[in-house]
Amino acid sequence: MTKFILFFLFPLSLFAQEPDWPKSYLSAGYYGNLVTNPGISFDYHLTLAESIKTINKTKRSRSAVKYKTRQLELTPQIGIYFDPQSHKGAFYTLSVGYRKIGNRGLFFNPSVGIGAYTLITRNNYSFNGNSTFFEGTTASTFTSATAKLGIGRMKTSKKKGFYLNFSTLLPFNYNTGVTPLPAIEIGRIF
Amino acid sequence: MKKELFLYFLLVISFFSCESLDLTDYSEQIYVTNDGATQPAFIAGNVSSKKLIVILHGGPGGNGLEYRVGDYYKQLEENVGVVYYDQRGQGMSYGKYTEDDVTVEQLTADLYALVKVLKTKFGNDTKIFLLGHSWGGMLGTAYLMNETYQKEISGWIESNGAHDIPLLNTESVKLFKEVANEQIKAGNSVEDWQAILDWANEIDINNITEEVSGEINSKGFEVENYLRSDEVINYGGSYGEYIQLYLVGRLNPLTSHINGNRTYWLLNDEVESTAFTSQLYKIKVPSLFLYSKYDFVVPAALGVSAYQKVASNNKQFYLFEKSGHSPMDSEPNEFANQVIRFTNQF
Repeated sequence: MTKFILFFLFPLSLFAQEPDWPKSYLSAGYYGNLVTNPGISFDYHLTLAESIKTINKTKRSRSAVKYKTRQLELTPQIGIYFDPQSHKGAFYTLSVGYRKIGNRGLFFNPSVGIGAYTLITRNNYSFNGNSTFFEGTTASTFTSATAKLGIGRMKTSKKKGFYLNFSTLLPFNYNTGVTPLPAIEIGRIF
Repeated sequence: MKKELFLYFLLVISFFSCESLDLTDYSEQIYVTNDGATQPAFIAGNVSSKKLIVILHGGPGGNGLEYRVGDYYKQLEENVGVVYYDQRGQGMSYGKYTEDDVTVEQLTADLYALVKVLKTKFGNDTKIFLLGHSWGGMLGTAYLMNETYQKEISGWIESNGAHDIPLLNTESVKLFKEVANEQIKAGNSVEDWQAILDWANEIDINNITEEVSGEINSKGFEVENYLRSDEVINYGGSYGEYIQLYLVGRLNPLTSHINGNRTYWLLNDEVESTAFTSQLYKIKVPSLFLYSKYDFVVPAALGVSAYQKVASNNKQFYLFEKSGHSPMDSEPNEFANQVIRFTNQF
């Protein structure tokens, strides 16, 4: 009988305590401009505010108490990608995001931000109306917005987390307007 | 974490591309900046020939590398250097400028900048030919209207070039009627052609609006499908190569599409009213006009008219019998032969 009670109490003990998700952490991973143009990005996540909602479930539920965590976070990101046959792109953004974390650490994370996008090309020439000049490698920087929709699992004391983001940079005044540069981001939360 | 970062790094460096500086099999991407726009030009082929063909892509809204698919370009690149160039606001070109800077005149100035850069890079003795297809025919013609610009060019190849939109529209309507009657008589796609004939009969050729002009353009591509299915014109193009170009090539399809579309609308009003026929006498460089019998998008009548009106001492006209708007796809060998034969004269 004692064993039987312990067996049912054990899972409850896992979720009985309020979760204590990390308030700041680093994440890094593959940044695929248009999925296939490879790159790498680093994000630092800083929680600005957090609210934890306790939900008392009915007895049908596996656990009696569940917690839903909502965070407001600030995320600086830097990254670079290589369009292998054309150009390189670098970006540095600061995003404000909302993160909703479930009991098991699974999260949903939309965010928007602002920053800059730098496009780097080599073998550049310029023309001034009379003469041509070889410029070599040049960089053009555009003010850029960014938007992301992410899912993943938060890290715990035992396991690293992971993330999958569908994101886009939105450089302004690119030619004559805004041009979306979509990407997929897959990486680990350290 | 160190191990993971190392793996990401390896992945990234493994994707670097190689370029070839072997002059008989050259392959290099350059960028030319002029008046706020930076435009890529991919140079490939036999540059040791001291001859370069600059491809002026269609659209507005296309890109240069769309012309590096199929069979014809390989034959061209064996003989001469080919420059696949993305015009301002199209393909992978980028920069910062205003909507007022998107004009046909500005695009011709950009092309002059490219020509000057190519001469600096490959030597002033390099012969440069322009090959303009569709909208590229209008751009090339506009370029040649400027005497200073024209002096830098050794030859002009206009393939299905749209150098006069009002004339294009009236000739297209005539061609729709003529070919619809011919195809109905032959029993080919009778219902489809009857619908085309009814539509064409409704058009007042003395008052073709921009809306009707757009319809003529889209119907022009539509009827090519009927002609292909009835084996009147050849199938052309390679979908596999297009997929390769857009997925792993030098083009970012979304960027190219969005920028191209925006530039198309910025140029549209000017393009729709542009007519160079009365000024074609200004063209004095050797010229080759390549048009197709079944091109409703830019009818062969424009090529015939241009052939008659240019002042070139060396001028030639060729009509592709089994092609629509893109003979380089549907008759690639003959297309390459015509271009190579022309450039070999110089």
